[in-house]
Amino acid sequence: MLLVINHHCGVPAYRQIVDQIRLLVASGSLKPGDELPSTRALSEELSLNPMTISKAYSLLEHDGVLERRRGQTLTVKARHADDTQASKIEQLRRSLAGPVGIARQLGISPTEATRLFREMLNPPKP
Amino acid sequence: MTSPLVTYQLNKTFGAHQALGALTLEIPFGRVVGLIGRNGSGKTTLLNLACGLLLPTLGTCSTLGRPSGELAAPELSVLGIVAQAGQFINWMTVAQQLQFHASFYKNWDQPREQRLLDELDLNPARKIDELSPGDLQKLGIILGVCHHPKLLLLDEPMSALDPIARQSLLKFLLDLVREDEGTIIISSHLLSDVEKIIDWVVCLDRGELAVSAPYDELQERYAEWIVTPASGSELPRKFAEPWVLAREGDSRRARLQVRLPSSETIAQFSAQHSANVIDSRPLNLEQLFPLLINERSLAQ
Amino acid sequence: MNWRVYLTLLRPWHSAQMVGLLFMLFFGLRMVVINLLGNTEGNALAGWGFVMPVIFGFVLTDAVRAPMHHPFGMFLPDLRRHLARWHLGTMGTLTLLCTGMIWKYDSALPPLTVAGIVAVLNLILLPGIWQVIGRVSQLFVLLVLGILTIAMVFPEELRLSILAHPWSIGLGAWALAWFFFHGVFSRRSGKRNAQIPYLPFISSSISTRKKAEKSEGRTSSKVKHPSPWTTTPSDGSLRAWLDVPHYVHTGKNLIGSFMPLLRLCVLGGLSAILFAQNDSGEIDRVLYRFVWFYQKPDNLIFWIVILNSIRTTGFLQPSCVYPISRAQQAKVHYLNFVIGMIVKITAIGTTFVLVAWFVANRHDWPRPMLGVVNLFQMLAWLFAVGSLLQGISLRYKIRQNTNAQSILLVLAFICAVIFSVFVATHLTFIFSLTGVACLVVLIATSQYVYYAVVRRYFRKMDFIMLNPSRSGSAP
Repeated sequence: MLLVINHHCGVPAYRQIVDQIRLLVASGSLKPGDELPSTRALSEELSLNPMTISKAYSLLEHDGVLERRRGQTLTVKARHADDTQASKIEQLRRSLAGPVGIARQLGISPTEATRLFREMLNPPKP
Repeated sequence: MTSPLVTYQLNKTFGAHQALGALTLEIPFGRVVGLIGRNGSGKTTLLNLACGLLLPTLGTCSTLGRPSGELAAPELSVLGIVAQAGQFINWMTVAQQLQFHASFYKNWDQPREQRLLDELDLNPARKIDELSPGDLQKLGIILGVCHHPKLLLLDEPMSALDPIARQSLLKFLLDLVREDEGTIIISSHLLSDVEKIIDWVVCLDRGELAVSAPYDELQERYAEWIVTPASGSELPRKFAEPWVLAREGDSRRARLQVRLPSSETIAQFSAQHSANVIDSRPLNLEQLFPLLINERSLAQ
Repeated sequence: MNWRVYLTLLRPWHSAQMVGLLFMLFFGLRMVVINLLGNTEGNALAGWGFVMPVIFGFVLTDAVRAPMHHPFGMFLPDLRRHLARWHLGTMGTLTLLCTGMIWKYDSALPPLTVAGIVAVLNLILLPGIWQVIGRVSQLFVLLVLGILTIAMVFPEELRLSILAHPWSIGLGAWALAWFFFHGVFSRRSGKRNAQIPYLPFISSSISTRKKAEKSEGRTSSKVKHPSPWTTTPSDGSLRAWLDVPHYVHTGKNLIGSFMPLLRLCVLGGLSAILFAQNDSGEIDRVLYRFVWFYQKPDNLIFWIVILNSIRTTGFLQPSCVYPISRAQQAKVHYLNFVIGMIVKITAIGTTFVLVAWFVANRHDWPRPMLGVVNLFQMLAWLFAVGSLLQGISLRYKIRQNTNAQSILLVLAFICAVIFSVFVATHLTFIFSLTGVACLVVLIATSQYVYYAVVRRYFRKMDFIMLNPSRSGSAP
């Protein structure tokens, strides 16, 4: 599973895992029913404490992103379309916090910022 | 699960110098604990007390369920120590020292020993007299882990290792956590390395406890804000709120380090100082460290 | 460099201790030699006049050698010059004093020659060659003292030789003195010295790591052919743990570490007997007096050997944590002490008795049967004294190879002398029932007290001292 953990940015490791798995689920890279690696396996892959992994997993389970099947394996939970959309918006919101902060620091007005955002979303045609 | 290390009002005084004062601490089981603090804050003293090399002047210290002065074979054979220096018998070769040490433990893991010798690139035929400080540290590590300790104490185990060896060691420590299911307490100045594996932070300052909390919690408790004034006004030189811990910058733009308050308090803050918080970033361990220490001295 | 700095370098308190120690040692040696050779004449004042420069010379030498051997000795060129001047000053004063003393006593001796000899003796420790291997310099010191002691017993011969060739001896002495002085304080050797670590006779803070380790009681790096370690202390048996400190310090287990002593005893005893075989009687007499405990304190050699060997290190020195409780460690330490004492005393004692018996046999002198009983007296006393020494060292945390321990040993030695004299003069009491009873009480009490001290030490003491030597363990 393609997760990248940055130890120096100050964001707790478990939170980075939660956010990234959320992204993978929302973007469709992880489909409903897909199995996730065990706590041990993932902790080995990411060089993290197994407790961190299990904390991330339980949070995702609690939020209904993952579910536990047959008592052992964790799988992606199938969700209602509306839920999925809401979750996607939430993710984008979170990742926009950074650019919004920069825009404010630079003193760029909301109108200008939106124009830029739109421009970047629709790449210019060759 | 009993806590592997519990202290109650632990005081250690060497003559006139008080190394630890009224330290009450409980290390949770199964964690990787980062023991951090400035030089002379008592980290090594605490570790030495935990393994029974030093005895408390006042108060108690219990390791693996027994008072540290009464540790006997059952506890000591599942206790692993990687000391800062000088635990070797200098006339021996590495192999002889390993063999000597192994004879004391019934559950010495020979394959693990071999694996570590290979991974850390240590030649067993060399004399301990002739090893570099880095190699001595590597040997110290191997001696401390091969008997599957339930509690592993490491005192600055990486200070003399090169970056590649450090990565090997960190990875190995995590493997250890998975295999042995024990507790690790690692004291180190190399915060950027240690934060990769720890999940609990114990911070000492001048012999007293500054913080003992899960690392995640600490990361989410503090943040760095970029604050600009609302149009027309200037930022105050000093922010009086007790949860504003540090301030940098000038009157038009400040970088604050804060202990995150509730959202109403943030609103109050913006109103009171006519300031906008335009960005909020989390802090890593190296940035958190001075805050943790200062918080404690403010609380005094 | 002013006088304050020089005074600091001299380390007055430590130096005073060392000077006292050396004087006591010399006094003891003198007694032994006088007893052995039976010559009780001795030009006391003149003798001390020659011994003083050697003893004070050691102290002065350390003061200048240590900084010169320190790496910064290379970068401070004036250091050498200042040290040279001060040393010359103190040395000169000392020479004048001693020469005056000797001349006062015996004005026939030419003062210049005497001064020359005194100067040489003062500077004798300076040359670099004695520093080659650390401990050698200390042995050399003892050797010089020993030679002087013997020389003091033959004052007439010495005196006559000085009077016979005043000029050649005087010139030779002054030349040698200049040679020693120049050898150390010249620019070239100054540079060379800064690169060679120095192991001073007086433990100073500018000592090398080895010396610091030694005083910590750490393991010796002289272990040459260790036997393979086959014991498994993890079995928990006390026997296995007894082997551990021996292996750590000598590379051999309990039995193995006594082998060199036993070999020495057998070889020494056989050599003595064979040597005596081919002789008419003079050497026999010396040997007999040497090993025969009966009357004189000639057995001081015995005392010196045993007391010196009471350097049992604590079990598993600081910063090593092995799976054994402190209470068990106390037991192991105590048992090792007892075993060590019994083996050493029995081995050496038996050798002495056998040699004396053999020699007595040849000449029909009184057999050492009573001597065997006397041996047991000494055994008891040694147990008591040994326990006392160890107990004091443990209780007051006196580290090994420090001045304090040396002073303790010398005091114990003097106690031994007193005891020997007591035994020699109270034979009837010693062999009576009350005497034996007193002995038993002595052993029992001393052992009980010592065991209590050991248990207390392990129960209450820290195994690590604060900042002993930064390169060693840390708090």
